[in-house]
This record gives sequence, structure tokens and C-alpha cells, in this order.
Amino acid sequence: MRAENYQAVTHPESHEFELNFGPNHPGIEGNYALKVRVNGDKIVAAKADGGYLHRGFEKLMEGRLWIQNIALVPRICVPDPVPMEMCYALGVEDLCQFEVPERANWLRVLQLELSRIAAHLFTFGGHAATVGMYSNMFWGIADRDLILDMFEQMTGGRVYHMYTIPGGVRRDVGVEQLDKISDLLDYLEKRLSDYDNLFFNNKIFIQRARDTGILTPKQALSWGVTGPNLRACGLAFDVRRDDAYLCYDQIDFDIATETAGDALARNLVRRKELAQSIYIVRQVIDYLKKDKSTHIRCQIPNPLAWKVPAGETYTRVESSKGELSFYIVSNGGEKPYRVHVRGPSSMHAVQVLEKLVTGGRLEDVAQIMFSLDACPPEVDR
Amino acid sequence: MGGMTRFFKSLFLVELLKGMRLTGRYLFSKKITVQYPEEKTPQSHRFRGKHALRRYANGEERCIACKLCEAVCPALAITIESEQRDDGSRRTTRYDIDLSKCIFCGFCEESCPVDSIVETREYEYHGETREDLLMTKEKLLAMGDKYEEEIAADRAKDAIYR
Repeated sequence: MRAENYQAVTHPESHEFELNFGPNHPGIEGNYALKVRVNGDKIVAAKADGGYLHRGFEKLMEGRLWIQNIALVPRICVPDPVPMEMCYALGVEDLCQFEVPERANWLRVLQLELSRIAAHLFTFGGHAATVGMYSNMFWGIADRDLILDMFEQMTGGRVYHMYTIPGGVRRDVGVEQLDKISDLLDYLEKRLSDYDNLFFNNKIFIQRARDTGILTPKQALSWGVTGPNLRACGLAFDVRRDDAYLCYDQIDFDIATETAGDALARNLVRRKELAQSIYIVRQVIDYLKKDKSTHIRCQIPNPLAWKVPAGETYTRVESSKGELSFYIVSNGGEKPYRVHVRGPSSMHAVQVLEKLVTGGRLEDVAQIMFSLDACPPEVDR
Repeated sequence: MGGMTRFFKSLFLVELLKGMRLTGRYLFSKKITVQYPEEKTPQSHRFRGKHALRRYANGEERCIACKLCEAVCPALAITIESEQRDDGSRRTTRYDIDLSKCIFCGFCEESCPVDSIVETREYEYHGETREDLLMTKEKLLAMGDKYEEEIAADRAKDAIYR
């Protein structure tokens, strides 16, 4: 926290205390602190205190070749890395006017949706841990690991795949691999009913999460909330449908919404999205099995002397956290001139979180943080 | 009536028992925990692990010191020095990969025109000093000799998907 933001407690007799919530605490999947002023267990004021994971990605990208940045961008958000590669690749393709083969687009959707499933399992597992339901957390992480196995078999990397490159993808996926993913989806669908019984229909969780951290639709719009957090307020906005990229316009899916806007609704939206993502992946597998083409990349220039035409572009994709966008400026050189990343969590974890926890109780802070699905590396970049 | 039901439900912790019935079922089912050093999860042939330098069947090293891997490496982990040998071919005199810098993206492997530098499936290694984590040319060639069969089989399996 900067010195000018620091407010010392001036009235000790008022029983107000200042508490450093973080940087390491159960509420978030990284290092991110919240300075809260508490009176008893009631929160009087809160101030977000980020910057622990600042690694300067945007500046680092200016010093690397266009192709080398593929190895850098997934690190912006660890639990959900695929949309980062995807959004960067879409931007470069837009500048270079590439025609990406159809099969590559469907392979990318396969990656994106598997990544979304993994991220949602991680998030609601983590949320369960903040209300004391640890078995759910272990289940979520164990099931996520099965998806990481699939990623390893498809791309060679478990967490950072570096699979999507501007112009296509690096490897094709065989039929036997698609069958394995299909089996995994069957297993996950069976597990979803177990998750319902253990967590989503559990009265203990519902009573904790209902009416905690309520966001009204008006607040959500004015604070720049996107993704599942916005859909939990009843606003059906999804980049996948409203600004369709790749082949999402050929895929049938519903946009999951809830109306309450509280922590419970945000989790139920994620639960519904899990089912939707499984449905999407099944359609993708059907397409890839029928499609006999092996064309997965368009012709890209020599990556070591790749000069992207001058221009600027703004691309957005729907990550598991919300609307993720890249603003890329090229001056015709071998490296980007400027890249700006709009991480959805930077809105959720700073301005929204501060306001939602104020007036609430101390034991709900971790819960509200996880229900917003804030990803600190995305905030700090 | 609704009040009575709710009272008894809370008194006998029905919700808690419901949850515990589910977790109890999993308590007696087959465990998914993998006892790591003794048992391991199956590994994919695409896995990107520790590097190796390959040789041709006649024992000649493949690397021709074109330095494409050095140029494409996003983490600047590769250092190559080369000179002309007596038979007129260009070979490396130094080929270092700093494993503490490497991010295992596999771009070196993709860029190699002679399939010399590859990433093996080896992932269990450690170093007690920085020098241990610096893969010199000798260490890389030794890795290649050790895993040559596996490397060749993996590349052959993946060739149609590239």
C-alpha cells in the first residue's frame, strides 16, 4: 500500500482495529491482500492492496519476438491459461490477416472449454474451502488434475500448454485422444451430481452464501463486472455469443444466468456453466471425429524474422473469470510496440471487492473473494 | 408443520448427515491417491521434460550449430559456440541449456532442422548447485544416448499429428 493511502487508526477507544487480510490467506489463489478495518467482526472499511504478483508482463512482451510471447502470456493467469494464448493469437492473426483453418478453430474451442471446466472446478472447490467444506476442495482439485492429464496428452504441458500459436495450433489431436476426453466427460457428468449433493444443495453452504456480497445489475454494469459475476445478476452477456469468435457461432449452448447476484448465485452460474462446457466439448469432439482434414496451421512467416504489419487491434474472449481482452499495437517491427491486457479480475478484485466486503462480516471476506473468482496475477500482471 | 419439520431437521443435523453419507461412500470406495515414488500416473509421449541432444546411427552428433534454437528460445536459456572441424563440417564446441531458466515450451525442438535438440519425458531431476542445473553438451549427449529409443519412438508416434 502506498504511504498516502495509509490511514492509521485514530480512535482506539472506538474498538476499531486494522487487520491485514493477506497476502496469503484462503480467499484467493495467489498473493493479494486486503486491509480491513473491523469493529468486532463487522467490517467498517476495506482497501485492496495488490502488487505482490506484479511481473511486468506488458513491458516484457515489448522485448520479445511475436512468437516468443506465446510462452509468456499464459502465465498471466495460472488457473485458466488457455484464453490468454487464444486472445493474443487472435490479435496477431487480426493484424496479419491470417485465414485460420477450420479444424484449428475447433481444436482451440476444445482447449478453451476444457480450461474453463478446470478453472471452475478449482474455483468452487476453493469457495467450498472458505466455508469449511474441505472435502469438496480436494474433489475439485483431484478432478481438475484429470483435465490437466488430458492437456498433457494433447499439448505436452500440464499447466502452461503454449499450444495455440498465431495462425493455428501446434499439434493435431487423434481420435483415440478424443475418446479419452469423451470418457473423462462421462466421469465428470457423474461427479456433478455428487457435487450437487455435497455442495450446491447443501443447506450449510446455502445459508452461508445466500445474501452475502450482493451485486445489483446497475452496480455490476457501472463497475465493469463481466463473466459469471455479471450473469449472476441476471444480465445474459457472454462474449462467446455476443461477439462470437472462433466457431462459437456454430455451437449450440445456453448462457447460464441467475438473478440474485449474491455469492450463492455466482456459484450456481459456475455450476451451470460446467454442464454447458461439457455439452460444448461433446459437440466439438463430434465435429473433430467427423472432420478428416489434417490442416491445423496456415502458412506463417519465419518466426525469427516475423514482421507483423503496423496497426492496432483489440480482441476479446470469454475466460472463466470474465471478458479478457488484449490491445496490441504493432509498428511493423519484429516485436510488439505495445500490448495491454485487460484482465477481468482487475475490476472484480479491486473496486468491486472493496465495496462488497464493506459492511459485511470478517468471516465472509474469503468467501466473497472466491465467489468473485479473482485471480491476482491477472490484477497485477 | 413446516416449522416442526425444520426444527427436527436442525435438531438431528439431517443436512450434515446427508453430506456425510456421500463422503462416507467415498471413504470406502477405491482411493484415487497415487503413492508417488512407488506408483506414477501414466505419462504422455508428448510430455516436454529435460532436454537431450541426439546422434545419428553412426555415432555422429546431429547438431550443426545453426543456432535457431538459441534465437527462438523465449527464456534465453541456450548458449551455443561453434567452430569448423577438420573435416570441414560446422559443429558446436559449447551447447549449454540453463535448466533454471528454461520454461519447457518446446520451441527449440520445433525449430531444429535436424531433430537434434529434443525434450525427453524425464522430469525427475534436481540440482544442489547452479552448475548441476546447467546442462552442458556432454550431459545433453549422454541424455540422448540414454533415451534414444524412447525419443525415436515418441517422435515416430507424433509425426502424423504435426
